[in-house]
Amino acid sequence: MIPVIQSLIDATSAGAVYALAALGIGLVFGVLRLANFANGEIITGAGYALVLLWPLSWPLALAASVVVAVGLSLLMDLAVFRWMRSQSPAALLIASFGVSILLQRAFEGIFGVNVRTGAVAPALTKSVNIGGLRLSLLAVVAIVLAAVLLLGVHLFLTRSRMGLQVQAAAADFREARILGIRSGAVIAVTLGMSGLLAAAVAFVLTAQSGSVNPTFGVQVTVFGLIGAVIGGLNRIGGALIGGFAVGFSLSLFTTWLPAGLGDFRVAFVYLLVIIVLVIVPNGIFAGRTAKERA
Amino acid sequence: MSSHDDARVLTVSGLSVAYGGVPAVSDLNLHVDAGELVGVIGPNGAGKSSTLLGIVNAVRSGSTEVSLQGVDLRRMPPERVARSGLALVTEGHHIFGRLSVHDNLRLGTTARRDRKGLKHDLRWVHELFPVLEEFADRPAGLLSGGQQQQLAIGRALLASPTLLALDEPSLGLSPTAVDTVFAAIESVCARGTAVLLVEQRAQQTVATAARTYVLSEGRITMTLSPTDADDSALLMKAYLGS
Amino acid sequence: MTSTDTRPSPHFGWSLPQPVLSLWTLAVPLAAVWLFSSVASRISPSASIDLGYALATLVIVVAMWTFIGNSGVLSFGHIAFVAVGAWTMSLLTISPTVKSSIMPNLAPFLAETTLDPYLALLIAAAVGGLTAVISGFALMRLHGLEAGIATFALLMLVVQVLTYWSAIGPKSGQSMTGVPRSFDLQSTLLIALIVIVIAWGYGQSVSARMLRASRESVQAAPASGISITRHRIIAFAVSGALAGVGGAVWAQTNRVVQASQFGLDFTFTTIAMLVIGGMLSLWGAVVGTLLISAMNHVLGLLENGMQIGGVIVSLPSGSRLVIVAAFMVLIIIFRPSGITGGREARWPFRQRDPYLTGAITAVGEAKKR
Repeated sequence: MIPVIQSLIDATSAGAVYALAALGIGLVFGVLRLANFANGEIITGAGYALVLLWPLSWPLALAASVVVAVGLSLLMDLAVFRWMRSQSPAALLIASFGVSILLQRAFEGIFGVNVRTGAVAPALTKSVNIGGLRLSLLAVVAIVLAAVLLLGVHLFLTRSRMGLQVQAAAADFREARILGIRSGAVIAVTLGMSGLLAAAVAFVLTAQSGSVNPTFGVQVTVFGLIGAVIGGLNRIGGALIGGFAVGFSLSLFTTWLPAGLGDFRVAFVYLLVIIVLVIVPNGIFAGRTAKERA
Repeated sequence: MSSHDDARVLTVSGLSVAYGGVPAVSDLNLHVDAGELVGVIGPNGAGKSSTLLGIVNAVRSGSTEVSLQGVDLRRMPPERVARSGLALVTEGHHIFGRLSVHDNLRLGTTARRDRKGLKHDLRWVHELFPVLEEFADRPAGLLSGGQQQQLAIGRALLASPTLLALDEPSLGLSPTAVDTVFAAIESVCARGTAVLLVEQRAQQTVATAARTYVLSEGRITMTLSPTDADDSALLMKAYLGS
Repeated sequence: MTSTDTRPSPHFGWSLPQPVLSLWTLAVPLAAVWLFSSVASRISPSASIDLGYALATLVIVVAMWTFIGNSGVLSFGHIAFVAVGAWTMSLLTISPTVKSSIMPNLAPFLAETTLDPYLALLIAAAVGGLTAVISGFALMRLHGLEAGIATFALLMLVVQVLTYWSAIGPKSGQSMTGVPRSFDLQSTLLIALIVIVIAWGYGQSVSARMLRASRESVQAAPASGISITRHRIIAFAVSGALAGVGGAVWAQTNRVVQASQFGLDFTFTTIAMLVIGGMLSLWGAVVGTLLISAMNHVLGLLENGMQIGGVIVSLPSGSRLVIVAAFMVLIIIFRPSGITGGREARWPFRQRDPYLTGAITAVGEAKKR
């Protein structure tokens, strides 16, 4: 029984991280029709801020990571995506791929190719023993952090004035503008939110690994993107659940696959993804045919 | 019958809209005075929607003048046009289906320039369209077509606009719903707001509006007055073009 | 663009029959590749080496066009078929001695078999095509963004399997060395030209035309009785087979094959070449690849330090990918249809009959977005 609960806790914590990544991606997609491959580099940037600044002062590191993440988000849009507002989501995806490669090389150039180590929130690496269950403090923090941020985003979107405007813009951008909703403000807020979420992901990942490198954020973004697509890009809630599902199953596969197949855990997740997409081509929560938006 | 310049709410001159090189509207001129209900009728594809979208800059357009109470709207993004006092109710009642009726209405206040009369206006909208108060917390997507159209209009009214423009509000509505909508429009006019009504229902529009432009293949071919409403031959000619 | 001038042209003004104009769109890419290769192979030894890679990449990018250009559907997964083709080629041409030492867990049938390289090439094509057909059944109902990401998942899946399945390859991510050089530069060029002919030929087929018809409107096509999914699977299969050939050629050029080589960077480079040249046309695929390959060669020289005039210019290593990426981003912003505008090579002389001029540009043309 205990191993089962243990693995469920680990899986939930992994799921939480990927859910945050997928949510950030889903939010931006909703408003801008941009599935941002370069989200990984936003996470990487925040990661460098955390690893390099934590020894100096942890409040500074946390603040810097958020500033870097939000700043990179806004900068990307300003430099590249803003000029492509009328183009298709597929074209935007390709462009974001290009931005991703550019930023990876930029990180390589600035920080070097090798892994940079540095403890981030070392206090969290401790474990607590509760009745046979080994609870990693970090896992708990990850779950709590994710829950708080998700609740925060939900409340913001549904209760606040700006949040309603973001929802409206995601549903029908042109109509929102005709009503008087300022597109610039909505886009900036959305990018800001996704930056904040990316910084949170970076925090958990750097605390976990104690290191960062130029391709730090790539893996989680790939899974986050895939999770968001499974969940149905048209629904913010769907993206979240899709991301969680990917992280959750990845963790379960890692724990429960028989010895010979352990190496294939990642392959199994991808296989699962493809199977889901075969059954529900537009994502689990997309509902009726979700044609490409104009 | 006076048309002093200070009573002129909307002036449009030389408006042209083209999609990929294909002209939809050419050299269009119209005006709306304070408290007036002005109609625009014409067959499908005549360019009626394009005219409205072009005025609010939701699509690219060219013109010599588009001004709302003297303010030049031409280089403004659509959100600024709305905030200048032009509320457009688009064709096909684009309400936000996943948000509640109440939240939809709330979004309507985004372009409002003066918060003071909000409670008063909200009460008025509820009077015009009681169903909006009844279903305040329901997702707007669950409303019927006619009710969604009422929501779209109510939402636009909460912006307290100087000019209310409507694109075929009666489209796809039942006769009762159409009557509710038209009654509401007349009430809006009576209150002093200028209204630009684009419609397919030629007869009803010509009869109600102070002046109705006839749009055909992107150009205004004639202007009708309420006395022409019973002249079916004239209406047919207007519709089918010359 | 299409001329609306109906006055008799003062230029060479005879009307050419349609088949000649169609063949022109094949002749130009073939001539360009042949010319490129002739020049590159004579400049320097390093240029010849880079030419080998360029031709392999050309096959791959043409394969990608075969699907992406005709269907209008994005695929980030074609490197999966390249990998599969490279794997096949390596397994069937590396000598058994080497195989047993670097891949001890290899299935006996694979460990002992060695085949004639051309036969291995064909098998690589078959395996690539088969993989495409199987995955195609799953993925071809998707389009747009979902297709891009789903095909990406396919790539990741294939790479994971190739990394860890030691019955068909080396253990946990190790590399296969000792892949023999089976094709000299002349043969590689010949293979590339044949692939272009095949891709072009497929593009002329009824199935491909129907697919192109569906490109602009995914909703309208089924109404006219076209089964999009079926034609997409055909396109996917053909492109998978050609990509397998590309992988095989690449493997024997690089002499070392490793699962990690077939990841994001390779995917990005090939997509960038296709986008820069013009995603929708065969000519675009060729132009993009030749241009970027030439650029890579020059940048490679600069990275090693080159003398220009009296000055030694040197670029930091890794600049190549950055410059390609920057170039691609600029193109996608300012000229999304690519250098060729998505059009096939055009007959350069004005036709007297403007209707016929329209017909030329209709071959492989896409509506400007």
